[in-house]
Amino acid sequence: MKEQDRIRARARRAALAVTLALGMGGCYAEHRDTPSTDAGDLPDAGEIRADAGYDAGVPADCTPDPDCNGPFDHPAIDGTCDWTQHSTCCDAHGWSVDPCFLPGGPLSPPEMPA
Amino acid sequence: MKLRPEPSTTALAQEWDRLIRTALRRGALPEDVEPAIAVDALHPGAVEAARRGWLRRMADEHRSATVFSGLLPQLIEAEMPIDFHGVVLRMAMDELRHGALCGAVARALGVEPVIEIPDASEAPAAHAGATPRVRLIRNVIYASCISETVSVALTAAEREACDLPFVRAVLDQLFGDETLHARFGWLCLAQTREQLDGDERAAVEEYLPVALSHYERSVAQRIGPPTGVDPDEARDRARLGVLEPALAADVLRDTTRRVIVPRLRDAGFDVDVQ
Repeated sequence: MKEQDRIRARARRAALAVTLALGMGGCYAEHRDTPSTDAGDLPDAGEIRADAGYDAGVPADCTPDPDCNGPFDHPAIDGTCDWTQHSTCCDAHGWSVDPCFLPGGPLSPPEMPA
Repeated sequence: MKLRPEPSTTALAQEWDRLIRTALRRGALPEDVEPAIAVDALHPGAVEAARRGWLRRMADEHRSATVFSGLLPQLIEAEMPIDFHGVVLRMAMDELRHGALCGAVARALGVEPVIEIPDASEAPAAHAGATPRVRLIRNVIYASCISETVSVALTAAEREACDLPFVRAVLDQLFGDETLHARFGWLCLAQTREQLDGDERAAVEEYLPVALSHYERSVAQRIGPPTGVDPDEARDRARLGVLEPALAADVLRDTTRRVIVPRLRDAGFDVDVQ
C-alpha cells in the first residue's frame, strides 16, 4: 500500500506541476538552461520531473514557509506563503522562476448538450 | 480501415526521422534504444495484457493527432498568437510519433502494430452558436487541461514501476511530451481568461461539468474493473507499463478532484465534480 501511495503522490505532483502554467496559486521552477542528467530523481530537483531531460519542481531548500502545507498551496487561501523568498531562493540556485509570473492523448471534446 | 503507424520506404521517411531528431526531440531518443523485451522472462498473462494495452494506446495516441490539428482553425478564429498555432501542430506531430512508438512496443512484445479502426474523424467539437473564444476554450479545457493533465499523472505512475529499458524510454518520451500538451492548455487559459466577457465566461463555465463527467466516464470505461491477478502477473504488468486498474482509477479521480478542479476554480470558474 505504501508503494501505491508513493506512486499516487508522484502522479499528483507531476500533474500539479503542469497546471502551474496557469500562473496562479503556487510556484515552481525549471532548470531550463542545463539539461539534467538525473532528471528529477535527486534532491536538487525536488520530487518532480515534469519534462523529460529537464528538472522541474521545487529545488531543495526552496520550499515556501511551512504554513503553506507544501509548495503548491494557494497563497491567497492563507496568505502566508512567502513566494518572494521562494523565488529568490530559486534564482540563487540557478533555476528559472518564469513560470511563476505568467499573466494571469486527448479525447475528442463533446458538444454542449442542447 | 487499418491503422499501421510505421514509416514508408520513400524519402519522406528520412524527413520524418529528421523531424524526430530535431524539432520533436526532447532529450534521449527512444527510437535509438534497442526495441527488445525478453517476453519469455515475463508472466504470460502480463505479456498478453501489455500487447492489448499498447496496441490500444497506439490507436488512441495516433487518433489524438486529429484532435490537436483540428484546434488550429479554432486558435486562428479566436485570434490567438502564432506560437499557439505552431505549438499545437507540434503537439499533433508528437501524437503521431507516440502512435509509432506504442506500435514499436507492441512489436517488441511479439505482435504486429496494426489495428482495425472505424474512421479517422476525431475532431474538436464545433459548439455551434458559441463565440470563437468560447469554442476554443471549451475544447482546450477538455483536450488539454483535463485530458492531458490526467495523462501526465497516469504516465508518471506508469513510469514508476517500469524498469524495462525500451518501455521506460517510450514512457519517458510520452511523459515529456504530455507535459507540454497539458501546459499548452493552462497557458491558453491564462492567455484568454481575462478577455472573456460575462456571457462567454458563463458559457465556458456551464460546459465544465459536462466536460469533466464525459471525460471521467470515457476514461473509466477504458481503465476497466480491477483485475485481481496474482502478484507476479501484477508486477510484470507494471514493468510493462500497464497500470493496475484500481490504481489508474485512483489517479484519474485524484487528478481531476485535487488538481484540475481546483485550478479551474483558480481561473475563476465555479465548478464542482460529483
